[in-house]
Amino acid sequence: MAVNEPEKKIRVLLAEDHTLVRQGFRRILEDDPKVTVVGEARTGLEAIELCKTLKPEVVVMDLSMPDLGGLEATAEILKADPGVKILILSMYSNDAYIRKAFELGAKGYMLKNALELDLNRAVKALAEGEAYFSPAISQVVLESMKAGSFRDSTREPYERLTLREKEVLQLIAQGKSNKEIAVLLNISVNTVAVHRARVMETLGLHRTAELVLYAVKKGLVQAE
Amino acid sequence: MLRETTEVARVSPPGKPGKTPRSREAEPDLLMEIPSPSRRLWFGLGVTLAIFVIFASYTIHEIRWLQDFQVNVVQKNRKASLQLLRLQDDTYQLAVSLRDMTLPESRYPIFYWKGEFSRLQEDMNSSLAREVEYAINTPASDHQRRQLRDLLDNFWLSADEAFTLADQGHENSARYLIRSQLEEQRETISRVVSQLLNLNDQAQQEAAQRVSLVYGQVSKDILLLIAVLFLVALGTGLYTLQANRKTFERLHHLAERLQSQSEQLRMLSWKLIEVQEQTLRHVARDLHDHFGQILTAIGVMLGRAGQKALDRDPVFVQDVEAVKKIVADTLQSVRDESQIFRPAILDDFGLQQTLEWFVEQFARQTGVQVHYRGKLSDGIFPPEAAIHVYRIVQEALNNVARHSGAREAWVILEEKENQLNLEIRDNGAGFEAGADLRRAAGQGIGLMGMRERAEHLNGSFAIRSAPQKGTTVSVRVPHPRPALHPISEEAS
Repeated sequence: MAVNEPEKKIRVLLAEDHTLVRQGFRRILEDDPKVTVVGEARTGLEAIELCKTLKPEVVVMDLSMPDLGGLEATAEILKADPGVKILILSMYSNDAYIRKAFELGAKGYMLKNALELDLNRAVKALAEGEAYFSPAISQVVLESMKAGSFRDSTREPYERLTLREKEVLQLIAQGKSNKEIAVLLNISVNTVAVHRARVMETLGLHRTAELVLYAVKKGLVQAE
Repeated sequence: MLRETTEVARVSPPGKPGKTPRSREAEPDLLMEIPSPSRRLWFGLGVTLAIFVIFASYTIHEIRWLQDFQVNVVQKNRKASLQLLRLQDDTYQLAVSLRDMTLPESRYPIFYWKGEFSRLQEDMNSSLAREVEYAINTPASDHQRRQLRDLLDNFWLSADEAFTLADQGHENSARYLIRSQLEEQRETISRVVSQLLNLNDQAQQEAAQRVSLVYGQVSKDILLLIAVLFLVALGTGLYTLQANRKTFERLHHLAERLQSQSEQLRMLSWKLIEVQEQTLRHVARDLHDHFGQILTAIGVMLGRAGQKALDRDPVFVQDVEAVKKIVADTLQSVRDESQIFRPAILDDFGLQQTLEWFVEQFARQTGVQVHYRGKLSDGIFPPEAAIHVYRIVQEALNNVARHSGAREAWVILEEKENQLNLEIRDNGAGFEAGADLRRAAGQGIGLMGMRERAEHLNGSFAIRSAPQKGTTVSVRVPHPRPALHPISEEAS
């Protein structure tokens, strides 16, 4: 990739459900002449859709959004276009979240904390192809590595699923339809479809019957 | 949020006034429903004893009467018969004398028999008198007796007349009189005596009949007594059985009601826990998603303002930095608080990771070294169930930090045969199982809450402790694995 020319701005998609925060982020990002916000999404599903049409370089992704969360959206976006750089913004500095974010292919993780929220720096770092942790996150990652808990848990395909995806898998195995699952988990039917596709993709399965068989083998449901 | 609050408010008040007073009324009511059978049983026993006493005294009376009857009547009758026999004998002697007196070849004058006659008269009078004394009077025998007396009187009058004639020298006239009248009169007397004997014999037979009749009556009475006593005893026994059965039925009913009441209480206390969890979850989410985000936005905008003024107004920038710090600290508190109310990681990553996170957090905050060993199978422990396991660990570890003085604790979570085994152990002060546990339970609903949660998950809860031996909390909960169902029509 060539060095950024002055007129070429970094195209950023902003996915954040909270309007005030989103507006604040947008202003900060656009304060930087090298960054342009090409779109705003309020849910994970919207982010996936906008990514397809807007082709951003970087997605600034809030971790917790209604309906489809940031983690699942990250995985889905990267499935369609592995070149997109995703920066996760989160209220949680727990290593479980950080680990999952990187497992799913995010390139940066920032704690939503005013003191260290240097969005532009992170976005530029990602655009350069680097990874980025905010200071508090670096600390957690370091401690996790020391404690050995940051080992690769990616070997098991099942472990690469998010809890929500595991829940969907379990409900599918119970014979629930997408519509029923959507009602049970209080998410949209489209989101259920995304989860279902992600589960099949991750586990390398292609039919619902295979999913059921897998769930039985895994002990997610009990065969009577 | 609003909708939820009204729901919470709606749930508890009807539960409280609706159920508590009813249960308060119901208890004395229930106890009143069981009448004591003892009064009726005492009555039954009294009646039985009274009947027994009455019959017994009646029977004793009958038997005594029989004794008297036998002694007085039969014996007397026999004595009367003896007297009659004596009379009979006397009449035979009279017959002999009369024959001797009237024989032509009689060598003795008539007056010679006077002595003999007066002895017989005396004897017969006394016999008759004693016979009357002993005899059982019946109209027939009375008549005979009167007749006998008259006959005897006439006989002695005739005898006197004969002796007078003889004294006056009319031996032949006297003989004639004796032959013509006395012999005849004596025969009549003898016949009447025989009749009396017959009557006496009849009376004796009648008495014997009467005795056997009375014996029959007495034995009938005794049979009747036994029958009545049997019936009364049977009645009392049946009543006792019935009363017992009713009492047990009512006790059973009472126990059932008490059980259903305690069930209701448990349901209520469980409802409280549930409502608490719901509320905490909503408060946590609100804090986090709403206030957390607002604080984030404020922080972001402050940062931007600071950036813009960086070169122009260093004092303003300093102030902004200070406010940013405040906002950041507040945000951190909000985040921590929200995690205490309901850890988001539980809903996002499940039980195992939540416990890992909590144990680490706990160790950092309290300085208690916690050894965590946890391995759950791949099956999902649903967050609605997992929150209770998490709360148990939270409560148990909080107790360790607050009461035990332990420096080390162990949290072990393992899954065996579809059952989740959880153990929280410390090496602290421990407590005496009896009194201290009650005191510990009184200090808060901690232990009760833990037990309640474990039982709600169809599991068991146990706490073991001894002074200086540490405390172990054990929980066993079945894995709530859903069953496989046929796949519905809608495919991917």
